[in-house]
Amino acid sequence: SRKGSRLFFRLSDLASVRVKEEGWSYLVFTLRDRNMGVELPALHFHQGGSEGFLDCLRKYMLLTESTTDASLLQVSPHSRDMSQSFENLLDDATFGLITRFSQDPVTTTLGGFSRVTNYLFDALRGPDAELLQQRPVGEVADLLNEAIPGLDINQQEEPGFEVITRIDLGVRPTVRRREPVGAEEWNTNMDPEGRMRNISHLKQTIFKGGLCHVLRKEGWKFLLGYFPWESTQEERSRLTRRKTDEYFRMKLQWKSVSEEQEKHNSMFRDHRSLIEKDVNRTDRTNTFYEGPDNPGLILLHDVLMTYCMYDFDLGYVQGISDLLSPILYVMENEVDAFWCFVSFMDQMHQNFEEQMQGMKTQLIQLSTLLRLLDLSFWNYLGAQDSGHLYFCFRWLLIRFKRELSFPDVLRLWEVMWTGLPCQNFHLLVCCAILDSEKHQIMEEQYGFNEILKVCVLTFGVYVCVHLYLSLCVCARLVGSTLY
Amino acid sequence: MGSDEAYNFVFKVVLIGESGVGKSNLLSRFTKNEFNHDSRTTIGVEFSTRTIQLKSLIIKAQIWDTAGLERYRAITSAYYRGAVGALLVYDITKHLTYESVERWLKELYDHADPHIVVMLVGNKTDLGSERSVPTEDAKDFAEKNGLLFLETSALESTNVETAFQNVLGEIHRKVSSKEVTRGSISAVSLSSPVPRAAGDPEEKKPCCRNL
Repeated sequence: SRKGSRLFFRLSDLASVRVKEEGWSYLVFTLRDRNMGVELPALHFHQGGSEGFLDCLRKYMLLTESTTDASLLQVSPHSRDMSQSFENLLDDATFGLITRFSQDPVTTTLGGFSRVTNYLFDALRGPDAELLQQRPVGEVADLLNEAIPGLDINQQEEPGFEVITRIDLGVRPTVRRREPVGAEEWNTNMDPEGRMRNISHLKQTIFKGGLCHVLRKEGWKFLLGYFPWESTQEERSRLTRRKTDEYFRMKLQWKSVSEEQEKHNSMFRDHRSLIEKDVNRTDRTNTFYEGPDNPGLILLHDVLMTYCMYDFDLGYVQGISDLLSPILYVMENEVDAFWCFVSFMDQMHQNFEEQMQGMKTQLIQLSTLLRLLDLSFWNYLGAQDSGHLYFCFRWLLIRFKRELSFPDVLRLWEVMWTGLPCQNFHLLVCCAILDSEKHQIMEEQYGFNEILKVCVLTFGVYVCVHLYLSLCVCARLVGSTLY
Repeated sequence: MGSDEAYNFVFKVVLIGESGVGKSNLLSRFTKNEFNHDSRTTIGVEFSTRTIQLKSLIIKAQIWDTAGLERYRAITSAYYRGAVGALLVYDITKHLTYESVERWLKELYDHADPHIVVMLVGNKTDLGSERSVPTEDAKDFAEKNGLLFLETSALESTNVETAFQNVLGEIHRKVSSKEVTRGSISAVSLSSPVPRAAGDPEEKKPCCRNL
């Protein structure tokens, strides 16, 4: 029985791939002689993507067209380095194929690739979605159907594969933002010892309306995980004392580096010089950082230097100061800002690592989502050499920090930190922004440069609407119960 | 600024070079006649245009300012696509930024049109007393590598205009002398033969006006 079966073979056993077209493309794999020339069940690409798949395969094996039959690709090994440049990875990996290939580059489970539904799960749920892939095929489809009402998943057409044939998000619902949570409402959710109650309800209200500015100083510590929700006031005081000591211990480490030591530590010098350069270039129009001798600048500098000591492997990378600035602005205290920032960096760390794995993953996930939400636009971008979505780079790297006004950044970030309705909510925000730009892009037939331009210039007041728009996209995706 | 004027050519020009050499200020000096000591770190790319008159032709320079940080280069190099001109900027007071010029050049030739016009630009001549890159060294290097060369100060507005003008002029010379065959210049977007009417749709976007 092929129901729920997976194609499973070693790439080194692959003899040839036949590419066939019947309105859509499908690929037939034939294995080498010692497997008696076994022909495997065809892999169908109803929504396109066979080329991307083959390109991906080309990274690992040499595919040469047969001299007698152009539809037949003969497979032989080549000795190219497995590691790929960013660009190559993204060109080919719009399906998230690479991530799985790289986990197990030679033996790979092709059946998994065909299950489009898994990609959608990955894209919405973030890293822990791996678990879902262990679930039986049918169950995944059911879960997905539950999560996305407009989705039409056909399990019969191709036994063993779900084929998403339609996603109809319907009419964009009206979304009304709630009033921000104020001190009074916050306090009713706190027991006499200071433990927070009704946490999931509280998070929902924050998701719908954000926090009043005065409440941010306290609320963000919980949202970012510096303070455990269930901790008592007493426990938090102890925690703060301990964390204060810890902070100043680390601060002393870089403060006490002598000139002589620094001379022999190029890494330290590089980080320090980058930090000094960037502190002078971060939000200088904001009252907290403006002017030549603003104490805010010293705090920004010191927290970044201390973070360097806390995580010397990462140290400092341009863009990180943009992530700290709003937190420091809200906390007005270097110790609290530092520990909140540490928590935020736990989420953002991968974006800045040498290999920028976080960025690669997010661009792939975004592509997956966009493909599902708006196939025609996704195809259009692909045709304009913009399928890699590089124009979203800055949006993702520093979470819309440069695209939104400062108050909007504060609002969007606290909404995202609730973790609702899914870890990758920011990808839906991207989809919402793209959705609002798409008509212009497609109607004016924008090419590579114009698309880049539109997306790079997308900022300011004009964008604050996107939070609402993304909530709309979201509402359509997860049902309007949240609102 | 003349961005609403009609134009005959659009030339895409990129600004590249190490972090902190003054790329963003060269751009703002040229397109807005502004200089800002605390201009933000460029993440990814930023963008600005200016339309200039070159003899009888009106040329719209579409200038892309890229991030200098090594780590982001894989991304920023993707933005070179379609560029016909480049200003490769170093800081005359920081020798390290000059030492990496060769690497930048390679990066550029790997990703941009092979006929791209490149100018080596030594910026920050206002800090002459801290100079660590002799003019002659850079000039020789530029000559050997077939690059245009100029020293500028975005702060004092020295040579900025000339630098861009020369690059745009050289691009135009290449295009009109057909040194570059039309086929290979996906790079140069020619406007319609008749100068385009004012109010080119791409200029109408409200967000552009904010610039």
